[in-house]
This record gives sequence, C-alpha cells and structure tokens, in this order.
Amino acid sequence: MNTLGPAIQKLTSSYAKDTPTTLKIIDGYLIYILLSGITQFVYMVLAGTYPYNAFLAGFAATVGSFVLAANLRIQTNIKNSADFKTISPERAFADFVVCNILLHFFVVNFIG
Amino acid sequence: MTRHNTLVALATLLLAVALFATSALAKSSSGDRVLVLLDDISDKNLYEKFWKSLGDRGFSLQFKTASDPKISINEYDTRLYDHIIIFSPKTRIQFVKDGGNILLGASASLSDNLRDFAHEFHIDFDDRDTTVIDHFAYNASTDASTDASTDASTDASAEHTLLVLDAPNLTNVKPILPSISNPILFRGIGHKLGSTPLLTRILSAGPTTYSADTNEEQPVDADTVGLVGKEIGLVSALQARNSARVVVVGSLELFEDKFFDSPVQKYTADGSAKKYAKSGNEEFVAELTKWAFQEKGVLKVVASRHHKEGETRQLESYRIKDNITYTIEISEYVNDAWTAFHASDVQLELIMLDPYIRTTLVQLPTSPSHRSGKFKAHVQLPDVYGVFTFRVNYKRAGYTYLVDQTTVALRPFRHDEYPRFLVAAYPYYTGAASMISGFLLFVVVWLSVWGTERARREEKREEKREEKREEKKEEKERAGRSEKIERLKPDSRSATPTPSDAGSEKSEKADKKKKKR
Repeated sequence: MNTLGPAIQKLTSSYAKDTPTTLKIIDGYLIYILLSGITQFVYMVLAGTYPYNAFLAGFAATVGSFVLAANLRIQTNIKNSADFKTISPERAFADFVVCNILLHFFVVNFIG
Repeated sequence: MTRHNTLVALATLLLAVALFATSALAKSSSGDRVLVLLDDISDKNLYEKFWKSLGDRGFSLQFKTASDPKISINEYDTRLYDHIIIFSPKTRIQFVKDGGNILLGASASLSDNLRDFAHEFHIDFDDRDTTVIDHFAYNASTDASTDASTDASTDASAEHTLLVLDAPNLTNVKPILPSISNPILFRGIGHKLGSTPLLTRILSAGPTTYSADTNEEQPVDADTVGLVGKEIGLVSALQARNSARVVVVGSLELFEDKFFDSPVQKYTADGSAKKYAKSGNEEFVAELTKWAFQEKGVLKVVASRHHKEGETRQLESYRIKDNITYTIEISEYVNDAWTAFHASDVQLELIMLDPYIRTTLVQLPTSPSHRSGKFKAHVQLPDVYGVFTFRVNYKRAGYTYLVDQTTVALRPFRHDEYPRFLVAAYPYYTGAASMISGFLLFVVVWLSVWGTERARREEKREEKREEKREEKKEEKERAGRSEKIERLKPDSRSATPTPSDAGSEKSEKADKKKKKR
C-alpha cells in the first residue's frame, strides 16, 4: 500500500514527460468519450429503457468512438511502428476518419 | 265432417320456396308462384279465405292433387314454383331445403315422417292422437258452427279442446307479429321446443293447458300427461342459418274459414266472460304468413365501405393505429319496397382469430325517401399488425341474419413513422451529438498537433542524417591521412606497396565503407 503512492506519482510524471503530445490528445478524447458513455448508461438505469433504440444508438456511439480512437492511438504510436509496417500513421488516421463517419451515420439513423 | 276428419287426421302443410324470384311485383321478397297440393281437389273449398288472402298479396296459386304424376317442381335445375303448399299428408315429398320457407301445419294424427321432419327443427310433437286441452281458456261461445267441429265421441272435455289464446301467449318479437287485438282460436296438437337459439315461440299455451289423448277413457294423471302448461308450443318458428323460415303450426283448423269468422267468448280470471265478434285468426295468419314468406322482417346489406379519416378511397391495407371510418347501409323490406332499416344495436367487430375491437354503429339521419339506413363507426385500428376482418354480424330474432365481412391487412410502422424526438430520449440525442462534435474537434486538433510534431521529427531526422554524413567525411579523411602516412614511412614498408598490404588496406577500406553504409 505504501508503494502505491510513489508508483502513481512515477506513472504520472513519466507519462507527462515521455508521452508525445498527439497521444495525450487521443487520451483526453478517450476520457471524454468514457464520461459521455457512463452518463448515458446511468441515465438509462435510472429512467428505464423506454426509447430503447435511442439508448442503444447513443451508447453505441460512445463505444464505437472509443474503439476507433483507441485503434488510432495504437497505430500512430511511434514505438509500435515495427508492428504496423504496412499501415502508416496517415493511413491509420484516414481509416479512423472514414470509420467514424460511418459510425455516426448509423447512429443518427438508428436513434430515431 | 269426414272430410274434416281426414284432413285433421293427416294434414300437413308444407311451403317450400325456391330461389329468389326476379319478379319485382311480388309482395314476397322471394317470389309469388305457389303450387298447392291437395289430397282431393274439393278440399280447396275449406280454405277459401286463405287462398283469397294469398291471392290479394300477389301470389298466383295453382292447385293440383298430390297424386298427380305430372307434377314437377324442378325443370332443368330451375324451380317452376317459388312456394309449395302441401295439404296432402299422404304424399311423401322429398324436400331439399336450400333457401326454401316452410309453413308446416299439423294435427292430432300426424304422420311419422312429418313428425321426424319437424324433429329436424328441434320441434317435438306430442304423441299421436293427443290434443291440447284447457278447462279454463276454452271458447265458450255457443255458436253452433264451432260446436259442430267437436269430436263425435261425446267426451265432456271435447269442447275444451278449442283453445282461446290471447296476448300473454303471443310472442313479443315485433318483426314477426305486431299485437293482435282479438284472441286466437286453436285446436290441435302441441309440441315441445328444443333449445336451439334459432327457435322462437310464436304462440304458446297458457298455464292451465295440458296435452293428452282425448280417446282414452281413463282420467289423466300426472304420469301419463305429455306436456303441461307454458312449455307447450302451439305455433313456433325457426329461422335457419341461411335465413330460410320454418313455421310450425299445430292446428290446421286455425287456417279454416270457420275459425276466421267465429265469435269468441273467453272467461277471465274473475269468472266474467268477455265476448268478441270475430276471432283474431285471420289477422294472425296474415301476419304469420307474411313473416314466413319473407315479406317482412327481411333485411339486406346494400353496401359497406371503410376508409381512413379524411380520405375517401377504400384501401386494402392500413397501418396499425390508423383512424378509420366504417359505414354500412342496411335496407328493410317493408310494404313491398326496400326502405331504411332503423336499429341501435348494429355492431362492428375487428377480428383476427379473436375480436380486438367491438363497437356499436351509430345510425346517421337520412332523408325519409332514402332506401337504406346508414350506420357509421369511427375506429382506431389496434396496435397489432396482421390480417384483420371487419365484420358486421347482426343476428336478431325475427330478422334475416346479416353477416357482412371484408378482409384488410394491417402493416406495422414504417421506419420513419415511429414517434420521434421523445423528451425521454434527449440525453441520448445530446450524447450522440456530443460524440459527433467531439470527433470533429478531435480531428482538427489532432491534425494540427500531428503536423507540428511531424515537422519536428523531420527536422530531427535531418539533423541526424547530417551528423552521420559528417562522421563519414571525417572517417574518410582519417583513413586517407593514415594511408598517406603509411606510404611516406620508409622503413616499415618497402617502396612499392606489397600486393598483400595494398590488398589488406583496400579490404580495410572496403570494410569501413560497408560499415558507413
């Protein structure tokens, strides 16, 4: 227990120092998505599932966005460039944009 | 007297109506050609008034004896007559009922096959040779004509077989009979009715009546008596499922001229006598045969349609929870013409295996000259999709049975017909919108950051490359200098470089170059 405090400190300081800015931006985006998803879920638990399709669409929007952003983070991390020899970061970003557009199209369609 | 006996013995009256005739002049809604079959042509005289009343109503009568071999009812599959009156009990006629109306008259001695025939309609006649007797409600008129009709065997109760029946004994089903002012005389056999809802009692006996064998010498007791009291049916009617009407009358004498004209004297409960100059038989028979021959109490559906509120086109399929209007027009045949039918209990059902909706139709006011009554209902279609039937099922005692149905498909909501922009879903709408805007914002931010980072990385790489190039240069110079130095040294080496040394130097240089690469 007493090693937890210093461990967290080390984690946060090294994160702040060593992580490239682009990845930090993606991390911030991920946290935003997470909060939105949790809010929608809590609302559903409290208020019931009445327009079920609306709940599913909203929640799927958050989950899908999270997955796509996480993918982008993995693929644009320079340290992983050895694993993604055929996927350049530009290609990863293009994939991210296209998939997001598709996702939001379906979400708006299903949300009723 | 004997003539009367034979008639009483085996007379049955059968009226069969064939397909609906096309004659527009007939008072009956189904046709006016009547064939009368008699045992003996001279029997005709007994029922003169009856024939006359039928003739007045537009029926054309043709009389033949039942034993005439040249009688044909069908010719090339179409009927020659619309109604048949069989006054010849001895003739067995195969009767196929398909739309035909029957008026069956019986008497104390009724043949067995006609007894079985009546049994088909759940009407069970009492045993052979029984008559209905009432010691309280008999005709006490001292007119010789009625007394003469009593049986030769001077049984004291013989005169009590002529019953007088009044309003309490008559049916109150208005389509069949209006109220008859004078009492009705009846002498004949009683019957018991089954429990089918298609039967209606038209004339039943009073509480003091019983049905027993008049020929027997023993007194009647509770064990031997057949039917008692109000359960004795004297005149009953059945309307079959195809609206063909069967009227069964237990007395043939009811139709006789003698009974039509006879005065009636009735004892009331307090012992006083009430006199009528004429019996109500004529009126009763007229009204009864009007109903039996489809001259009254006949309904038909003229048209029925349904459409969405606000439109006029009748569609084959609607959507669930649509609002529709259903209209039906029903006519009644009154006094020789189709007029508007008035009722307050016509109902519409929406059925898919079970009724989902049952609603009463409201009658709309129409002009008096309009030939049909209009009934309307506003319905919101149920929340279930499938194939539904709109059905008006109107079955009332005395009226033709009406069943009118149309089939309609109900489809579920289309993709864009569901309720939208619900207040309960606002959090989800904002959540999805926030995802979209967050995505766009992220893209803008990320691209700009990535761009600058990318540039920086490029710069670093350039620097590294330059450094490497410089390193290479230095190494080259160093190598070159070392060569020169070695060449200039006299002792350590021979003047001409040895092939091995040169080769080794060369190989060293080659190694260095390889490393640099």
